[in-house]
Amino acid sequence: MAIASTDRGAATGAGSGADRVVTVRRYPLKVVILIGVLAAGIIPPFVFLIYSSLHQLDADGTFGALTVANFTAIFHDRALATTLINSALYPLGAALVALSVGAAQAWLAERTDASFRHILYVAAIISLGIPYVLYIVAWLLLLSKAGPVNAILQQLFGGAGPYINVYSLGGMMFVEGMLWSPLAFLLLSPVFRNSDASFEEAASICGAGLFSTLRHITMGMVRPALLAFGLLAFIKASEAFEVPALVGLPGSKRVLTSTIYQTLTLSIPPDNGSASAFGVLLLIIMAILLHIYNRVAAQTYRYQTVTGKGFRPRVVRLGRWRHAAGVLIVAIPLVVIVVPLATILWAALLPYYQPFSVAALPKLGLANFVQVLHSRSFQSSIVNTLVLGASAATLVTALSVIAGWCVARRMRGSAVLDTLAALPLVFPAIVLGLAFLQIFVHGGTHIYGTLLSLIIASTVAYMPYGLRYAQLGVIQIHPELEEAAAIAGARQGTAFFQIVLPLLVPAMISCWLFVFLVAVRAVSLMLLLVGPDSQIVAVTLFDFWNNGQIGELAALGCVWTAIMTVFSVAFLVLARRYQLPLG
Amino acid sequence: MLQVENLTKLYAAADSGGIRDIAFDVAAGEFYTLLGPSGCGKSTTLRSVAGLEEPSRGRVTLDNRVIFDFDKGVFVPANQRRLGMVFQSYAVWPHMSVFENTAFPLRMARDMRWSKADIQKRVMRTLETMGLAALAERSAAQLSGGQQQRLALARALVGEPRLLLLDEPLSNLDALLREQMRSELRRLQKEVGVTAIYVTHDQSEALALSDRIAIMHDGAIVQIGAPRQIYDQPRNAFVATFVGRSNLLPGALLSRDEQAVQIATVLGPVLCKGPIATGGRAPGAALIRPEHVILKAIGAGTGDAAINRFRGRVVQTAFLGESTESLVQIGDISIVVRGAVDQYSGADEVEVFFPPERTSAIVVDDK
Amino acid sequence: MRIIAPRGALLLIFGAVAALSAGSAAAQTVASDNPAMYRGPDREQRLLAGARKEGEVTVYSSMIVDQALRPIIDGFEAKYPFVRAKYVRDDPPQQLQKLTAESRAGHMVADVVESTGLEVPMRAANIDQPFWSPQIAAYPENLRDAQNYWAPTRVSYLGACYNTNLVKPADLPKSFQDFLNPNWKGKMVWSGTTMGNLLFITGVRNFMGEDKAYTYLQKLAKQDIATIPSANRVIVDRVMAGEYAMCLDAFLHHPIISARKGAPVASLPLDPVITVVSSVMLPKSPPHPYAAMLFIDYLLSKDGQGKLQQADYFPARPDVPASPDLNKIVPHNIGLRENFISPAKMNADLPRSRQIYNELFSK
Repeated sequence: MAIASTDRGAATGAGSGADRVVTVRRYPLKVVILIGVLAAGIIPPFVFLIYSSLHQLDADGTFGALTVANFTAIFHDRALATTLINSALYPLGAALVALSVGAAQAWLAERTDASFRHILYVAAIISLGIPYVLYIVAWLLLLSKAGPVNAILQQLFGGAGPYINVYSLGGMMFVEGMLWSPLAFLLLSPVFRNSDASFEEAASICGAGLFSTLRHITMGMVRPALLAFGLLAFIKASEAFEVPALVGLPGSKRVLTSTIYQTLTLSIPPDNGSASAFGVLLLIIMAILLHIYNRVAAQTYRYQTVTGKGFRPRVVRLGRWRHAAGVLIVAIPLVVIVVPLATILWAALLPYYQPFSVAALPKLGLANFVQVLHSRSFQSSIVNTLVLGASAATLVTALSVIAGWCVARRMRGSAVLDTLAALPLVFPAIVLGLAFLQIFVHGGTHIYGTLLSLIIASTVAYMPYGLRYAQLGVIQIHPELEEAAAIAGARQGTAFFQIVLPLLVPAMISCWLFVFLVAVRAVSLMLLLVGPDSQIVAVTLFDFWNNGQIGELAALGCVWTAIMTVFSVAFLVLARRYQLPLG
Repeated sequence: MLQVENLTKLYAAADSGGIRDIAFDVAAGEFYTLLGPSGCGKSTTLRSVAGLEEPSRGRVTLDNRVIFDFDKGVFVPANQRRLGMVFQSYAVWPHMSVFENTAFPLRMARDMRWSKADIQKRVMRTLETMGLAALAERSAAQLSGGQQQRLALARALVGEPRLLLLDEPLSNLDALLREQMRSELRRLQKEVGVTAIYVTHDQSEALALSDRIAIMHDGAIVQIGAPRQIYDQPRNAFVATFVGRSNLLPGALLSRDEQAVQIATVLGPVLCKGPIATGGRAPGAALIRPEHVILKAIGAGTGDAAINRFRGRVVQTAFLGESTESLVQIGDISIVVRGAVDQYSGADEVEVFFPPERTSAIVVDDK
Repeated sequence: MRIIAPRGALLLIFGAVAALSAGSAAAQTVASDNPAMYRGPDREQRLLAGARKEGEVTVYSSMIVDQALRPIIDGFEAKYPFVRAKYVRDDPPQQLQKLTAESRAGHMVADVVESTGLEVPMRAANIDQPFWSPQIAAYPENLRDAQNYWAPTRVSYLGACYNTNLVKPADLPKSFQDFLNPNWKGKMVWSGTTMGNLLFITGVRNFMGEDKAYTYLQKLAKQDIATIPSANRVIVDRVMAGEYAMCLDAFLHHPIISARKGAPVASLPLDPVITVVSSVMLPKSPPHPYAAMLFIDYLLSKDGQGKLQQADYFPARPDVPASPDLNKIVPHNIGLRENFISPAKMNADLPRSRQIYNELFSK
């Protein structure tokens, strides 16, 4: 019987000597190709950002001489200290808000027998589909000086001046915290769900009541995860742009991300050099924060599949607190989701925005909706956004699946792959947008302002998330399944396509949906890159706010949220069924 | 059929699991077992033969063809070695049916193209042999543990491999199923006539199934032999205690001649006339299996006067169903005795007798 | 298979991409039959023929969409059904950022640019080209550009506006000096943009003279005026919503339009009224040069200017008066002087005005 020796080999005759060599000290071709593709995506932004931060920009848009003036100007700016302080305080406050609200919901949902628990999940699902701008605008309308909240407070407590100024650091913290609390809830529920009940039961046997147990035992057990999530929320808030731009700037509260945007848009001609210098500064800060996160938090905050015997999550009997908790459960989503959405709906039905009053009721109408649904530019906005989301999601999923497989199976060179895929995390979205702007403008290609440019930027930005999904999915597949295929005669590629890929389908779909949802929600990445042919919903909403077109903003926002809820429901169902991460 | 020479694989991180200079032969049609505790390297050896691990040194020849030779730079990849393998986790593909799982190796065959009809015939025949024919269209994810194991076996055998590798395939089954599958496996292997290499840590399994056993410890082969041989003539204390239960009485060599050895144990001198497999090294302990120890009531003596006779007390009795196991305390030592000794109990004083023909002297340390 | 070190591959790709960044100048060749400056007798036919082939035109404008931009687009499409008109609405700084990027990328998307205050920056960045339209003859000399790089489209008057619920007519300021009244401390707001408070400062410097203006502004700074870095239109909305009593730098047609819809806001022109002109410009190498010229013609024609009139803007064309409501506040109709800031002056004075703002007003 002849043995075919190598991939190239012909069968050697019986009795001949050694078979041909298959050198195993090579780097697999797929790893090399992937490294090339990823490097082509992520290295240029670094290069261009640093390059443009070190050069003066002339009036006609060409790069001038090499200089460090951009950096020295930053450090001579009087406002830098305030900006840095704001940039540190604001994410801290936001993280605290998100954490408290999210953890409270998670505990109520997972560990108590409070009524109406599933409402929390429904609310969280809906929130995944709401564009950031829409949500922020809702709160701005609610909390503005002439808005309903201030009106109620003035009724209650008298006095002349408005009680709440939303355009403040506190306002920024609150809105950003609210924005993240549904995701906090979704990320923290598994932590509460998976902690073993026997610790709390032991406390109960020792005589501890509900609140003592909560304070001393439960909190202690989930503290590592809370800290980890808090750190994550801090990082996400640090690189956030929408809240600082919409809530902070009007109150002259600047942070680094909004300063970048201002530098670009409020000076004529736009000062790319200075903006890039701020970008580099922000990049360094992000890198440090992420490094800390990886060292400290990643260990404690792991997604684990529930296995093993003797595991039982315990539901705390709340006794007489049950109804109070039930009220709380209804109240939280009411405040976090329902009231803002109602405000938006209100704004969508009015020809021009006025605060809620009975007098305004006759003016309600569907004019804004009609406009949105019939307008060509809105329709193309919606279509563009769907295409953007789908393309980015597909590209990220395809690349991540293969890269994740290489990394999870520890193929040679996969460490480089892992690093490259994770690098985009260090870019705040607005900075990545700025970097890609430079690339597209100076790179000699003609793709500036096209949908393709947005797709490329999104793919690079969301690779880290895709890779994580893929890795976790592959880890759940026992390596022996592939080894069995090898023994049965399959080449590595065949084994991948026939064995691994079919089993990865749930992870791939989750990954796809997650990237889709995230890609269409965020403004900051796309803001500098869109052109008239590539209008997308999130940026359109942002423009509407800046142009004062509130009615259209609200109508478009409602329509879009409805569409997105379908996707977010699908995502949540899948993620829970296959126990994949939600963020 | 298989010759393994100088096989070495070292793991940088762990200091267990590596193997050094492993060498053994397996004849065609033989059921050959690699037996040893966790971390002894038996799985590594098996996987090296399979091509799933790349050794650092050595040579493997299968059916007169070199499939691995480090010095000459030969390494035939796993998917070209035409083997069958049953994994510990069975590695049955959950998204395929029983039929599809079994048909996979045929579809992957390189040297001949299988027609649909031929695949159908061969797969169904294999499934019938395994008793899975009725489940052919069922999804593999819906099978019970025992059924999955049979499916794994079917998949391994469908391509009529030259060599069948089994990596602790029975360890995930419950006791009763394990017994059943054990005899199934043996019968199947003889019937099909395929050469099999079996890896396990369960010595009773190894003894029941194998034509020959290689005992491994700390990355090296300690002893190779037929089950009976290993049981009766363990090469050293490790083998003696690992395979079968034993009473080991360490002590210095008192005297030695052609037929017998005397060991000075803590109980006193013990005469060993049992088969000696020390191979020229100095023995350091006396060994007698529990089933060979004779218990008698005090006073009813036989034969030789004090040789190998000791007085003790029964401290514990365990009823095992088919036999009784007693623990007899002699001074500070406990001797395990197996037999029908239910007439003794509690603090009864008994006489313990080690028949010299059943007592062996063995080497204590060395590999 | 050969051994490929991944670092080598990385370097290769790095190098290739970095080489791309050397960039090429916008090298789109201008069509030899550029219609921009064409004055021949068959100009109209040429434009129509060319526009028919092109089929679409993209307009960048800073006009309000609902009031003005959309009706103009619709009017143009009604007149020339074979050209599909797309519009992009941005504030002037964003417009400039996009135009600069497009020009630098060698991929111009805009065909026509209508904006306020971009005339000099566009020239400095060499983004625009000269053009000629027969419609220009209808406009007064002082509103035209001698080098033909821009043509005036509308006039804007900058003034104060107030919330009618919060301010009684008796308390209204009657001159710029009245803004210094302590009653107004903390109740005023202005737009932190080039066309907002910086224009206000430039206007003040222009009519008071540098020294008096500086003294005035020093005192004004003590009034705690809130600065919102959004466009003037948005500030008017805030006043409308009751967040502030008075805004200092509204474009006066905005409050009038809103008041007509029932909003509690009114405009307050004060002597002398800061006046600026918005203009239309033609970028270099537009994707649809013929349709672009056709649009410019339309915008400058009586028809197009009429749309501006209906949209409650102030048409620049003398023989198209503003709507009756708006006509009431045209300075020379109510006995007020115009404090005209030309595009050149606006640009020249901007740095000093910004400096003054940073010194006196910025926190």
